Amino acid sequence: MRTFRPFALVVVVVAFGQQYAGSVFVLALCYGIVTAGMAVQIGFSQQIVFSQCVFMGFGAYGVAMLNTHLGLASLLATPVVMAAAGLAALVLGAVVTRASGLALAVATLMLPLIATGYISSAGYLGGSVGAPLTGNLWPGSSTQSIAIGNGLVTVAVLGLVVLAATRILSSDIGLELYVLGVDEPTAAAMGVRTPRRRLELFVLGSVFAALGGAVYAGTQLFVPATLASPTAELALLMMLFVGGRGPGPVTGPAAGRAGRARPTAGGRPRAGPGPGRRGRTSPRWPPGRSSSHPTAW
Amino acid sequence: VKFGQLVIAGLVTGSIYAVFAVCVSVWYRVSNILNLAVGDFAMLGALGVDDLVRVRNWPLPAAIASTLVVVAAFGYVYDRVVLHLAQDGRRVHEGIVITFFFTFALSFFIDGVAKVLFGTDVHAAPALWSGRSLSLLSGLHLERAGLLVLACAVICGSMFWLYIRYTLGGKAMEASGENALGARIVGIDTQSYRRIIFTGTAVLAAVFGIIESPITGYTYLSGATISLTGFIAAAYGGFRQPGRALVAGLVIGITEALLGGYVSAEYGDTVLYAILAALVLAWPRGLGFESAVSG
Repeated sequence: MRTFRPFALVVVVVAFGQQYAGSVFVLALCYGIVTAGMAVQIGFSQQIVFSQCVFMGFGAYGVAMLNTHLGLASLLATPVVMAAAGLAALVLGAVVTRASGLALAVATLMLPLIATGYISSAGYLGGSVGAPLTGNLWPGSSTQSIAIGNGLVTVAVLGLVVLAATRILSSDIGLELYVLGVDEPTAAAMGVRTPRRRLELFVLGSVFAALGGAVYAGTQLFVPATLASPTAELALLMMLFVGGRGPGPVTGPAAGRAGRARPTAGGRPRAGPGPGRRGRTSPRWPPGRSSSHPTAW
Repeated sequence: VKFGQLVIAGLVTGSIYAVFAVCVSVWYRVSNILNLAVGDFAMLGALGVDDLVRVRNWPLPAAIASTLVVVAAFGYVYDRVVLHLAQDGRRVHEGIVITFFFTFALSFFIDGVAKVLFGTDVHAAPALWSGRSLSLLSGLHLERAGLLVLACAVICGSMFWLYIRYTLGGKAMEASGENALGARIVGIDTQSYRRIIFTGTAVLAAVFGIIESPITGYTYLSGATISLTGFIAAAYGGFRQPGRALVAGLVIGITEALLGGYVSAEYGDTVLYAILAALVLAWPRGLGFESAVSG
C-alpha cells in the first residue's frame, strides 16, 4: 500500500495542479518537507529547537534573492541555498547545540525573533512586505505545465526527503539518535558521540527546512516576511503534532494526517521491531526537566 | 535624564511583560500547560472595551464589567470542554502536545474571532486615568496609564506571591502541578485549581489589556506577541517560578528600552533577543535553566 502513496500524490498534482485546490496541495507538500525534518529532529530524537522557520525563511529568501538579483533559476538556486544553509547551520549549531534541554529550546526561540526583526527592517529583502520571485521552480512554457511541473518537483523533493529521513532512522545512526533522545547520559555511556550527533541532527533539520523554504519560494513566487516568524514556527509544530505518528516516524508528520495520529500512554514508543515503530512526536516538556521540587518563588 | 526616562519607560513595559510571565508561570505550575493564549485574552479585553464604548456607546464601567465577564466565561468554558477532555478525558494527551497545542489553537481561534468582531485597525480602550503625564524628580515624566500598569503589576505580583507562599490553596495548587495523581489521592481537586487559575489569569490578562492599551494600542494580532514575550520571561524563571519570571520581565523591559534609546531604535529588539540567546547559552544554570551544558 505504501508503494502507491507517491503515485497518489502524483495523480493529485496532475489532476488538480492548475486549480486552487492543487496549489494548496503543493503548499502543504512544501510544509511537509520541513516537518519531515522536524519529525526526525523533534519527534524522534527529542531535540527541541524552534529554529526551523528561520531556515525555511533562509531557503525561501535565498532562492528569491538569487532569482531576482542574479537571475538564477529557482531550481538551480535551490542546491546553492541548501549548501549555504548547511554551512550556516553548522556554524550556528556548533554554538547552540552545546546547550541542551530547556536552554536549547529558549535559545533557538530567539532566532525567529531575531530573524523577524532583521527581515522587517532589511529593505533589500522586501521589509515587512516580503520578497517576490520572477521564476518558477519548473520553468514551463504554459501555465498548466508550470503548475503541474512545480507540483511534480515538489512531490519528488518530498519523496527524497522522506526516503532520506527513513533511511537515516533505520540505520545505526538512527538507533544512536533514538537513544540520544531517550536518555543522553545513557547514550554517552554507550559510546554515542553525543555532541557530534546533536550537531548533525541540527544541521539535518535545518537543511530540510531550508529545502522546504526553497521549494516554497519556487512554487508560490512570493516570500512573506512572516515566514520566519515565531508564529510560523508554532504553526510548523502544530503540523508536526497533527501528523502524529502515522505509519512511520516521518511520513505521518510529513503528510500531516490528523486522523492517523495514535498517541500511546506516556509518549512511549509502541512495542515491536523496526524503526518505523520507534517514531515519536510527543517529546517530553520541558526538556531536561528536573524531578526535584521547585522553590515557591 | 534620558537614562532615567528610558528606565521608567522600560519599567512600565517590563511590568507588562512581568505580569504576563507570571500568568504563564502560575498556570504552568498548576497544570503543566503553557498558556500561549494569555496575550489574546489581553487583546480581547482591550478591543472588547473599545468596541463597546466607541462603537456601541456603552458607559465605560459597564463595558469593562461585561468584557471581563465574557472573558471569564470563555476561559471557563474552554477549560471545561477542551482542556478537560485533553487532560482528564479517556485519551489523555501528554508531552509537548498538551503543553503547547491546545492553548496555541485557542490563540488562533481568538485571533480569528477578534478579526471578525473588531476589524484589523489599531484600537485601544479608553484611558482609565486620563490627563497630563506626571512629573517626577529631575524632569522625569511618567504617563498616568504607565503608573497604573506599574501599580497593578506590583499588586497582582504580590497577591500571587502571598497566595502561593502562605495559603493552603497555594500549596495545593503547587501540588497539582507537581504530581496530579498524588494530589488527587490526598484529596486535592486538581481540575478545579486548573480551572480557577486558567480563568483567573485570563481575566487578569484582560484587565492588563484594558489598562495598557492606551499606551501601545492593540490589533487583533497583538495577542501573539504579548504571549511570546510572556513565554520568554517565564522561560527565564524556569516556567515554574513566578517570582523569577516577574524579575525577568522587568529586566527584559528595561533592557529593551535602553537598547532602543542608546543602540538602535530599529534593531533594538533584535539586539535584545541576541543578548538573551547568548545569556542562555553562556550561563544556563545560573539563569535557572536546569539542563546542563555539555560538549
